Amino acid sequence: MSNTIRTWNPWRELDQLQNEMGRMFGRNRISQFIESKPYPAVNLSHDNESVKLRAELPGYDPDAINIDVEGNSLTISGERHFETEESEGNKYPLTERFRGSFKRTITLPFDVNSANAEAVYRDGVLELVLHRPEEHKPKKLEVKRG
Amino acid sequence: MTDATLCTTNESSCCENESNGKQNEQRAVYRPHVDVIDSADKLTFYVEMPGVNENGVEVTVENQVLSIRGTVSVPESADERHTQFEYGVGDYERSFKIAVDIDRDKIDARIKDGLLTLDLPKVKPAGATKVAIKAG
Repeated sequence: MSNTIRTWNPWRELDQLQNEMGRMFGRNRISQFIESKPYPAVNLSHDNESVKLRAELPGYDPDAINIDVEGNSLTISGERHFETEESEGNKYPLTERFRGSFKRTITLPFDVNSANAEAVYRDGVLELVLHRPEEHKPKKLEVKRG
Repeated sequence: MTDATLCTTNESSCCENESNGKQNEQRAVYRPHVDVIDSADKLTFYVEMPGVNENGVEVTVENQVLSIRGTVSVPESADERHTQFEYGVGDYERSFKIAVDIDRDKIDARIKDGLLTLDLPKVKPAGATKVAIKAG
């Protein structure tokens, strides 16, 4: 005699199906395809001398964020995994956060000097200040009367 | 009321409480990205609130509704001219209806690098209690 008789619950079946789909495609990948916003979200402002860039990267180890600067091209890359390992009894009623690896290249309004760049990671926001090399800064010309 | 029914029938131990949608008109309020892990002994919430530190978080549990509010400590200056603008800076707000009994006194909340982690321990369901019958 089997003692595993359970009442049939259609929601449970759906839940299992969703879990298996999640395993096949990588969790939350489906929704990432649908709303394929670039990650991370970036705000950028600049004046003639420098560029300020902020990126939303909550919950990262700053050592796991890589920043590469070359000319006027800036690349931010990194990766993140589940905080808690997947285990048998665990369910995931909601998975909206980004996971996996990312790489984003942003074109800056001008070439920047990578040597004196400043990068600060605070409260999940990465802030970069990149300076324009002295020789590239716009020069004011004096106009003489001829 | 439909929320509560939905929570119990799909065996999910929490679901979003849509009724709490009041927004501050002066300051933008955003919906944070959230992960929920439902394990045997607790519910764990990971709430992404970049720009928020320990001084700007408010978590309340009332009538099985978990409310999370985050206030950004240093908003970006308004006079900054953005050439690329992909995220707005403001506060965060979201609430969930919790369909399982949780031990409210043992909720653990911590925030690090703009990520709020909440542990809500479940109250163990009381097993069938045997009632002693006395001979009368």
